[in-house]
Amino acid sequence: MKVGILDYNACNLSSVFSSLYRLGINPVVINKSEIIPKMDKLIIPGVGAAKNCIDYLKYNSLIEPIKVFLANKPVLGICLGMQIFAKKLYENGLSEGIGHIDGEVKKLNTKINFNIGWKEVKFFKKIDKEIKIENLSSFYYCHSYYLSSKKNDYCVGISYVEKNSEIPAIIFKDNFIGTQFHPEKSQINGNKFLEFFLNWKRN
Amino acid sequence: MEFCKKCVIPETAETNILDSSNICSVCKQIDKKKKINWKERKIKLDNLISKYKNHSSYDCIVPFSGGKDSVFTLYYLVKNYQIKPLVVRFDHHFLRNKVCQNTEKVINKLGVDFLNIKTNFEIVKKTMVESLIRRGDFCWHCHVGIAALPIRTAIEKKISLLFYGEPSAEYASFYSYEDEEVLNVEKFNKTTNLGINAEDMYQMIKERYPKLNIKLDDFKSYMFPSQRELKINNINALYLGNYIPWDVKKQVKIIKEELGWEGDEVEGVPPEYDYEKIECMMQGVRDYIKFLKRGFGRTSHLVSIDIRNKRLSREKGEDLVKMYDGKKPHSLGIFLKLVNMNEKEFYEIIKKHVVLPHKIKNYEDFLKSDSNIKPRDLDNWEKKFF
Repeated sequence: MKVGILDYNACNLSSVFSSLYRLGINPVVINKSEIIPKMDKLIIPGVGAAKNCIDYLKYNSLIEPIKVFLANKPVLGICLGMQIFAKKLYENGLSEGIGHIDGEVKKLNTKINFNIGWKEVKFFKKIDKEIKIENLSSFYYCHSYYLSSKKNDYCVGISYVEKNSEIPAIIFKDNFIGTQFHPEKSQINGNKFLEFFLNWKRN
Repeated sequence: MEFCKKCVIPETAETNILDSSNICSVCKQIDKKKKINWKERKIKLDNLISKYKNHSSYDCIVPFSGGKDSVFTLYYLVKNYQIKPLVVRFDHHFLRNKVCQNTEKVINKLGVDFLNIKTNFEIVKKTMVESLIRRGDFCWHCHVGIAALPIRTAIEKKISLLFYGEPSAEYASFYSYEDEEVLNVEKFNKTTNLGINAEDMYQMIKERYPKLNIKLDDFKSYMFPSQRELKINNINALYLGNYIPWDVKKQVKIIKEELGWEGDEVEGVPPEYDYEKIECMMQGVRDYIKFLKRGFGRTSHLVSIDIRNKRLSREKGEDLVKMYDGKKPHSLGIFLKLVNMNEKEFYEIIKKHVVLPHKIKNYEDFLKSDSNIKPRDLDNWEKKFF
């Protein structure tokens, strides 16, 4: 199986690379649009600023190949890698996202404007019966923007940054799975999640 | 110090947690064991074995000491599944005569291939000193060897399936019976290596003995394969006790009757438990250290298993504990000679590893402690090393 990791000149590529490598995969780091269709699965890592990321993707003509890939094959977006699939993003000024998820990426409206550390994920529904992650398992977060979606249909699990301030933890739509947390930094639970994605076959 | 109300294990036992009514987590696990759907688990085992059978020169590896659990595991798999195993023994240098005779008998009667691996004793002795000083547990080489070597062999010989025997839920709370325990990097780091990897151990020994001529390669047998290696080689290291309800007493009866396996006397263990821990000359010292550190010994552990299975009353168990736990073993002399220490140095090391609220007895009382009975074959042990 060929797993591609998209390199957009930011993000923690090597953490994602290493965690896939440990799971027995030889991932391919992609920075050219023509390689994307050759992959079986695509992972878009996180960490970075939304506007710079979107500008980079546009400038390097990567948006269209991602959309085409997503129509047929599974994509995992991590943190910012998930947020860019929203319609609008407000980090460093307004930018237009890929638009697969009907939502907007806004600044966290909490006492402290960032969320760094471990949080439990409360699941509403299962993406797939094969997922072996128990409800309220902990995952690692590092972000100050979150995806706000009017349509909760896409949200599979949530976490609380503070009491009463929930954020979507896992988003799922068609071939797309997005996580606000970083599975590559989430030790055993993260491994389980990545393994699930690697074995995931869309029904 | 608080003790479990049901069994006789104190709060100082590793991973064992007492609840608000002073019932320990292992007792609760054993209650859950009865509720496991063992029929379902057995079907899982059937499917697993048929999936792996006849794929390579051996169907599986059975890591083996010759003690009751590995002998039963081997017997069960060969008898019930006509499996072709490679029996792999990590020889820790302290194997006793009886266990070696048992091993000969068992492998001959079952008709299996047997591989014995022994590592450099000069290095073993150094690791014993190092892990005693750092962790109050001199058995690092054995803990790590038993886990790493069979899996390294499995990768080398392209055998994917391994069967250990007793699940750890029988005596500790790292895993419960509901979990499916497998030996992987996570378990190895959490429960086995005392927080010291082979690479660490190499460096520690190099620092303590700068003139010693050792290489990292000398520690290869102790290196647990990486998660990637396990994954790529499709390694599945399981515990038979996760698929059939583990019952030590019943199993010992079977291997005694069917294979002529024999028990032995062990320092600090009542004669009626002649089946437990018979494989190691240093068992008495190990259990004595546990007593000094945590305030309970092997007998507490053994009677607790019987109490949980309603084969012994708590009162009778406590009597046995008083008679057998915490006595100084004769083998301590051999041990101290091997690690080149005197009793004072030994005591001072152990003192640093005492688990609160247990308090170690003072040095004078330690010197005066009563001895255990001397095992018949103890004089031969001495001859082996000096």
